[in-house]
Amino acid sequence: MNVRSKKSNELNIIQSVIQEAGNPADLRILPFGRELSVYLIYLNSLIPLEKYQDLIGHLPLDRPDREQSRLPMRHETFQADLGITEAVAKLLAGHLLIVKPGTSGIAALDVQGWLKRQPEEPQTERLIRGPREGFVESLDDNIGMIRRWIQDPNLKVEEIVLGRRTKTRVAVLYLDDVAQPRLATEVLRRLKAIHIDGVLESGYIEQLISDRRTSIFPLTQATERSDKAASAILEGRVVILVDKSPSSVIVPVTINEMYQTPEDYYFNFWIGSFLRLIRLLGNNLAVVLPGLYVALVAYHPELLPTQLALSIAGTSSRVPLPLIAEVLLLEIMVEVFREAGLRLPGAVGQTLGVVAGIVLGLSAVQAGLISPSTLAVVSITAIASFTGPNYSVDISWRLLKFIMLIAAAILGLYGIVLSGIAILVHAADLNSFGVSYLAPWAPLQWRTLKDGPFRAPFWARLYRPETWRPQDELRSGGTKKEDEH
Amino acid sequence: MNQEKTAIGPWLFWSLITIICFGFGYINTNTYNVETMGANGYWAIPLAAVCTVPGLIAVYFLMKRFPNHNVIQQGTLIMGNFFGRTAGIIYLLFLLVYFIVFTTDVDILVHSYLLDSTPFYILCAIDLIITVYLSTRGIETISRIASFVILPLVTIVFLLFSFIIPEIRIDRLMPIFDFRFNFKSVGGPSILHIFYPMGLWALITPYCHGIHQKIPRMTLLAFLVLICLFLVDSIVTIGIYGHTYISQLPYPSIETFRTVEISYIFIEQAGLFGVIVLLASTIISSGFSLYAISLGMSQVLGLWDYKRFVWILTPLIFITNIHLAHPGFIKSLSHLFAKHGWMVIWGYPILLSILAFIFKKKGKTTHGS
Repeated sequence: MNVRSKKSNELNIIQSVIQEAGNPADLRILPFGRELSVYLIYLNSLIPLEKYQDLIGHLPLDRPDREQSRLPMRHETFQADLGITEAVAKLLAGHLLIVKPGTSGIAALDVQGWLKRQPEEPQTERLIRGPREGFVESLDDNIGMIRRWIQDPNLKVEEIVLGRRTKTRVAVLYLDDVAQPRLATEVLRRLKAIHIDGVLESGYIEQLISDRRTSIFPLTQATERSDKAASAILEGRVVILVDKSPSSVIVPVTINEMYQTPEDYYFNFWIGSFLRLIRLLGNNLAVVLPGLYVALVAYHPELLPTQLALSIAGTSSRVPLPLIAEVLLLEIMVEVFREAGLRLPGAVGQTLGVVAGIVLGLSAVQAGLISPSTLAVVSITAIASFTGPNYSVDISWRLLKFIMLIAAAILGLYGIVLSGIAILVHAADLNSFGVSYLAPWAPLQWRTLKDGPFRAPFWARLYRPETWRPQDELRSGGTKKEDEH
Repeated sequence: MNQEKTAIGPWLFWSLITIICFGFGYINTNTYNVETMGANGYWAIPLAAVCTVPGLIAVYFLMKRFPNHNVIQQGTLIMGNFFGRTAGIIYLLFLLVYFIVFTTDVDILVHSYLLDSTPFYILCAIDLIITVYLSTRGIETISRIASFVILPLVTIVFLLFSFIIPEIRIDRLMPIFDFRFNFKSVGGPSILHIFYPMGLWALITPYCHGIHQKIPRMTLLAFLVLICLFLVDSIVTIGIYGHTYISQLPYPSIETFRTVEISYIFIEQAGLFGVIVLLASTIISSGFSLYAISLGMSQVLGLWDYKRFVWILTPLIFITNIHLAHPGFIKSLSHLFAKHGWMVIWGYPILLSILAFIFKKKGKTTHGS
């Protein structure tokens, strides 16, 4: 084969790549090496190659295989002899393609040149004490964060690609000798069963692998905190990480888990338990208080102390709206302000909150549109709703609050009981990867209850929660010798 | 397939039988006790527990012999298809009527105590919707709900009782051991009604596989908790109102709850919360009963699954609820069922166990069907 035909072979390969990739505007082809006989093909939007001048010097151009490379490369980082289709898939995933004379295949190198965010503390999961590290949008970095927490060869990382068009990498992490084997298999089975054109965020995965897709309650746990995800893995649960998403998905989950934060374990057990109880109280207030207020004032005022009942009646008499309309209106306004505050820049959002809460509230009371007691109840409800550490479950409860409110307006306390039971029936009917959503209460698991509304001290929590049916139950205690075995 | 592929654990079993007994038994307990034993009505509780034991032993015996079948299926296996089915239908019809009477009684209670201006049919409809929703979720969900609710429920009830204890007048409970040992004076069969719901266990025995060994312990624990609850309730109610006045009260135990006032901690008439707690337990009891009856119906008729029967029975229950809604009539019907219910609820399993023993009938021992 003469030089000319060799050259035309490389050009054919490049032409095929261009065609297969759809000739995008950001495609760059860079002749390289002695005699400019090696071609680098890349997408400029993903790999700004000018930033990688040093890297180019280290490229395995002579023999594109791992042995010759001076870069530490694993199998997935550098692959040689790829076909056109595979090579284009790599190109679109941000790899650098290398076409070398005398070879029919194409080599691909993962250089990850796109923009990355530095790990920061997640906005919605802030802690007073604990690491300030949250997941970022890069899957490899997120896996690395977990690896830094758990330096154990039993930590399994299994990867699959989802999304016909997005080719999103999804990693499943678990401890091989702790997690229930059927759990990891089931997670992978459900992931593999997903057929969708694109996975843009872990929220897609959450909904697609959920046991009950129509449930109002989240049946998976989302977290951006790497310590929380690592803790779940240590308990015997499975963590799913999705490329380009800072939220990990933890399965299985129970409602009990939704009220726990890593901080509960960083402080001593007295403080941890107290914080949990406050959170539970806050959640209950956020769900029941408006309904209870309507039921007590409208249906059962005899339950209130006489002075209070008279005071409420006195202030409500000037209000033209019926009590339920007053509460409902104010609750809806709070939701509107909350949503508006989220979308506005930080400082403006805070200002809006103050304006809405104080100025508008007081003006409405003075104008006789609402009564002070209603304003107080709705304000307490709004503040209490922020105590929950899990946004997904908080938002579910916020929605259910309206159902309880309407039920209370129709049937008083009996309405609250009925709606409460209906919600409870729905929750009791749920499973997350074979685990009862109401565990450890239903079925009652005494051992796991030590990590329920109260957080038992570490010396009393020798075992992993039985809820997750871990293979290795012993968590602390025992002897070092036992650990070695 | 008219049977769920599931099983309940020992705790779920305990929660279920405790809560259904509490929900069903609580409303009329003291009416019957006082009526038959006067000021010593509280003795009726342990006596009723003792009298219930043979029936429970019969159900346990049948469960061990026929681990994959409930009392309806056991009937057909022991007595043959025709007699077994006929007896099963009679048994289920009795339970259905008992269930309707009970739910109507609860609706009347809600109507008279909480929502007197709400139309009765609305209350019946809403109550039934929640009951149907619960019963269509199956045994596992029902037992989970029971498990979730039982501990707070028992705690609240005992807490409320502790607030009423100072109101008790000891002279109303005296003389303590002055009762005659004849069938009539030990309360008559009507005192047994508080433990009747335990008989529904006979319909769910196939779901108890794997916990056969633990069932006697769990049943004993349920007995102890229920005896404590009912005994305290009985002593407190008789101690507050006296046995002569109790007979004039439609729901004596509820009235006892209503006497609780904790005004110094911001709640006047805290007892109403006790009523609410009781209502929660009655809904769970109703849901379970409807489930068990529908399951039995689907098995005895060999048609569809239990969910369809729940839907078929719903309009029937609703119409009957509305038409029975006369407090006096319901009370007399409840009394009738309380007095003679044992013949069906405990009599049928006892009869079956005797026949199974005599004719050496035994089911297959492999689990799961």
